[in-house]
Amino acid sequence: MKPVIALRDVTVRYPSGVFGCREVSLDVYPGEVLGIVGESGSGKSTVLACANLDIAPTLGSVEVMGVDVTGVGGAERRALRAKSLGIVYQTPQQGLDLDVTAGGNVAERMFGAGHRSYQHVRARALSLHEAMELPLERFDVVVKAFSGGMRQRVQLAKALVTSPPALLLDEPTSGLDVSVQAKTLDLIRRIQREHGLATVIVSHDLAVIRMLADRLIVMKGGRIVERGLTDQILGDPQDPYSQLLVSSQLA
Amino acid sequence: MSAFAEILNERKPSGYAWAYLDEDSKREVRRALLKAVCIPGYQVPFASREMPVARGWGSGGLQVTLSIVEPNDTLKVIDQGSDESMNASALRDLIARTTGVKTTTDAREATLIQTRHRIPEDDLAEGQIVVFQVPIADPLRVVDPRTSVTRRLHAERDYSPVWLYLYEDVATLAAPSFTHSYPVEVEGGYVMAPTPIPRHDIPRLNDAPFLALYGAGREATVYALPPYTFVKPLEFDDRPFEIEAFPMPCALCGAAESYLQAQEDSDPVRYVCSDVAYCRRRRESA
Amino acid sequence: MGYTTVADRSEAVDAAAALAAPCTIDGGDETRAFVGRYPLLVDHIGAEAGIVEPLLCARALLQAQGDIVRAVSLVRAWAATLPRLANTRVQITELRAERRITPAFSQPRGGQYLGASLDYAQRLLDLGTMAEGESLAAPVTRGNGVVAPSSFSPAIDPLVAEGLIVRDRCAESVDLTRTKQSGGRGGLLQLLARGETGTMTSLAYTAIRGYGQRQDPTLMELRSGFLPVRMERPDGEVFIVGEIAATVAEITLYRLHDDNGADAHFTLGVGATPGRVERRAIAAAMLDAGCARAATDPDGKRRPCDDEEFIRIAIDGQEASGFVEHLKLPHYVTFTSDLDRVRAAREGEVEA
Repeated sequence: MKPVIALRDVTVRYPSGVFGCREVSLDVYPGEVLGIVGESGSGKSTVLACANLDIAPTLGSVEVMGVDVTGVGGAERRALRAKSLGIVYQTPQQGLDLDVTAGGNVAERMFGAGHRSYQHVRARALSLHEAMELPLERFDVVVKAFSGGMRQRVQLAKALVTSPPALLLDEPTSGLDVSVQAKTLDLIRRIQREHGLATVIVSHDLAVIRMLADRLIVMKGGRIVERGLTDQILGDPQDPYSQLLVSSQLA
Repeated sequence: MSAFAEILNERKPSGYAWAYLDEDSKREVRRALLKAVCIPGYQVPFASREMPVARGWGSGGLQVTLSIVEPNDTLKVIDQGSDESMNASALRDLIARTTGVKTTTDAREATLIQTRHRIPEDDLAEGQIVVFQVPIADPLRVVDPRTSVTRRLHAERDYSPVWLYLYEDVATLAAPSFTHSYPVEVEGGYVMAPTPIPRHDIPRLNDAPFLALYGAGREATVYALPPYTFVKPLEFDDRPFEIEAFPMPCALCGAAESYLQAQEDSDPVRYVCSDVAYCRRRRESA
Repeated sequence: MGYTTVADRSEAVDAAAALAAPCTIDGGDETRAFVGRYPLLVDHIGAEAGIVEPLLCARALLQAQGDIVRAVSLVRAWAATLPRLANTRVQITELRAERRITPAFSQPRGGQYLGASLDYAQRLLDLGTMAEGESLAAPVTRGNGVVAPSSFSPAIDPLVAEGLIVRDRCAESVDLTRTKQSGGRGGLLQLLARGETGTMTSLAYTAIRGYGQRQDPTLMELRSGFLPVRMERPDGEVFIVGEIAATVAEITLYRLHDDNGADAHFTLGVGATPGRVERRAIAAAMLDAGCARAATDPDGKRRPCDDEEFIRIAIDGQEASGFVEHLKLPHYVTFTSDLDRVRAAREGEVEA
């Protein structure tokens, strides 16, 4: 079985000389959730950006569905993302247009994929809207009026509307109230299982990781310092940094 | 006489180059037009000259016309469908004076038609050229004011923002909010701004026998539709494009399929053809 | 006489032009003659000064040697200390029109009146007779007769030597009237050199006023005088062909912290204008510096005064005024289309 997303020895070096990440390799298979943890500056967001084709690696390669897509841009990248990748950004503004309706935000991804029937696009967007447990009467309401938790659900609906095999989540619940967090994570877990999505979740919060991730990688200073099954690492971290991370959060 | 004085003397109205523009300027426009015709609907930049009409008053259409006009052309210039508009008259005057070409108000006779906001009602034929005056060259301007952004969207044929714009209109307003200037999809994949012609005129662009050239002087852009090009307004498969409706036919000539104009100074308000010459001819031959 | 239904255009244009032609006002003195000759300029001053007194405005313009801003200051200052005698009101529907056009309607009730307007005449410069042509070509002696020592070395040279100011940022020479490229910094500088003075001044003002990034500009040097003009011959030799009156300004913005790792330094902006319009040179230097600063942070927030793309659109007075005034052209075909939509939407609402 081929991984849905694979990074091979990916190094990102910015023009200023700063490294985003160094020699990162990872695979994500259908149906599994890979967590990436680390503090801010660890490189986890850079890795996710590479997986989403937002950043082209300086060294190394990125594969989606077994095809090398390193450095792809323009229309090809857009088509690839529409077909294969769904992403939920940390801040809703990054993934949504707040002045556009919930339905519109989801529909736009379908227009990008070439759909031209108003009814069909609307119906599909509505079905996602409902699946994300968003209120019906808010479908034609601009997202600006939505709470943080609801905005994240709109992002999820948008990510999934073209049925991509991969879902990328960047700190999807940070900034949300604890109760809203729990509900959102429940929803993510449910849809991930329902659709067998190859999922990558980036978080600094180990509780979130523990809930969702099957495997995880720990990053520090742009490098992977430890990788393995979630339970193993959280229960018995080997690397000193992992130990520090785990003890500071889960003690 | 000094060299500068010589130049000053040569530049009097009677002494301007044939068709006003110098050869360099004509070459600039023609090269851009050739490229434009090869890539239907694609916005081609050109070094737009300062003209004796204000920017926004037809300087682009004028540059196109002056660059392609030939001595045996017959010229028609209209604004809002009327040959008699002050602006159309000024442009026609300048072109005619600097070329000596024959002018006409009959669209069927004209070989070169410069127009603002309308396509003449008459059926046009192969061999005719229609030059459109363009205010806003980019159909994606409604989506983003920055050329740096819209240029990339066109390059990637990423038109989902304008489809989203249409979707939002239909979802929240029940109909597209575009009135005139309705964006069109052109054979080959570009989305184009047809200029502020009414929706009524949009179907005339599709598979048209005439060559359509578009000149935007202020925005320094030309684009083109070669004859028999497929052109379709952006519409959802299940939401047909609607043209303007009028409550009655033309009060002067009875035309029922012409684009009409309300005349508020009559009571009750009456509607007459905006294509004044077409209407007059219909009345005279009736 | 209708607006679009005049068959013989030349009659209407001649009539409008005749009405708009400058007239001699009896009285014979310079001020009255000025008002007769330049009525639109006088109105412009009065409008910005907020006072309707043509003779006063003419006087101010003459005193200010044609500097519009200075003339407005003179008039405003004069009016500021006058006692306010009463409050008055106007009702705009009572305007007794000498000119009335309705671009939205082709045949409004009452008709359209061109009035006195230059709008309908082509913008062809009238060079008059042969003799006038000869005289236009004769050089004009400028300058106030005082010759300042031309051996000033640039004031910022010591700071440049210290490395605190980088003087020569790349600016390739480009002629925007003859090319379609945007021309990088060279293109921006040319646009600024030809930019509309009021627009440039406003944008620069907003920068200092706080709408730009924190800038705290300092005008390092302003020079006004004569600039030698050089040309390159085909054989490569460069020679001076003459001089033009010009004004040059240099502005710095200090910078302590740079995300790209550069040391603390000053960003330099250079503005130049032909002739002696100092505010143009200063405003241009401000905008050049603001754009240079903004360019070091490509993803940073932009406000109009440091948004190069915005500035390039806004800065040309011909494009701006032409497009704004084009609204006076007939728009009844497009308005009819708008009406159709609005009416249809309302009918929809009523039905629902």
